Amino acid sequence: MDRDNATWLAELRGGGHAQEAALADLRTRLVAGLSHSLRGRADGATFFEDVAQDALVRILDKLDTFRGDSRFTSWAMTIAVRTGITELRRRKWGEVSLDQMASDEDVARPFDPEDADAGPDAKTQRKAILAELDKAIRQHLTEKQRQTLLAELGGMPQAEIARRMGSNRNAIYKMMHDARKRLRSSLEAGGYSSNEIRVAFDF
Amino acid sequence: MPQLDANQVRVLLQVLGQTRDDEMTCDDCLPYLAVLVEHELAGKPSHEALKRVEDHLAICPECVEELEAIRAAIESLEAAD
Repeated sequence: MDRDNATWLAELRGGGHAQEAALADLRTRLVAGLSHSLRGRADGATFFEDVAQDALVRILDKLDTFRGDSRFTSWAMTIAVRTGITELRRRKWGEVSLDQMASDEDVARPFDPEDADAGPDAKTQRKAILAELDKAIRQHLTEKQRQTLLAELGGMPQAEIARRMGSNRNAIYKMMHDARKRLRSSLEAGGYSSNEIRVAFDF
Repeated sequence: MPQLDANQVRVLLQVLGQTRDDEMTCDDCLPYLAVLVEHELAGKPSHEALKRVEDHLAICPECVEELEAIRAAIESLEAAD
């Protein structure tokens, strides 16, 4: 059954048979969308049904935040997909600790500006920028920011870092936004603008 | 401070170059991913709010991964309707 946004909201808020029917329709759509978009990444239909059920609870909890900028079902699908991918990330990263992410042992080949296929001036510039970056990381970031930076650069998702820190993804994002601004300001204070860095590293 | 490999150095410096003072968080961004996909599928031009989403996507690989899955999900629902 096709519903417009207002009808979805009214039925999901309304209770009774209309609410039950809307929930059943929405669950069916979420399972279908998840099964298509995350196929090959999860272990069977039960996963998609469980994710859809978790997502339905979140969707009902967030109904008042839906502003109508998209179709209601598209908005609901964003919540379902994030719920599913967050669970897949949790399974993938298991019990890997933040300390493991900060270990030198995982760096097979530390960056050496001398390795680069670049002229002597560029190599000198790269060394100076790296020295400034290293100093900024050591002097201007908090221990939590340093730990999170290393975990992020090692590929650990922010939700997984948050889980290990007893925090949430949004708070980790804000903390690392502050960290990035500190590092950028420190590099600029050292005389290295974003443009100079881009030229020196050729990206 | 543990050492970083070449790719990590490059990623970090690129992300610092794309850092804005006023950024959307992943939670701010999520509802707009639906809008972004619907605009893409309808061939509509981007608008100011979506440009801020695109700035966030430039530095957030996790939201990019989610966008790709959301796009696939919404496309499959549209095809089924």
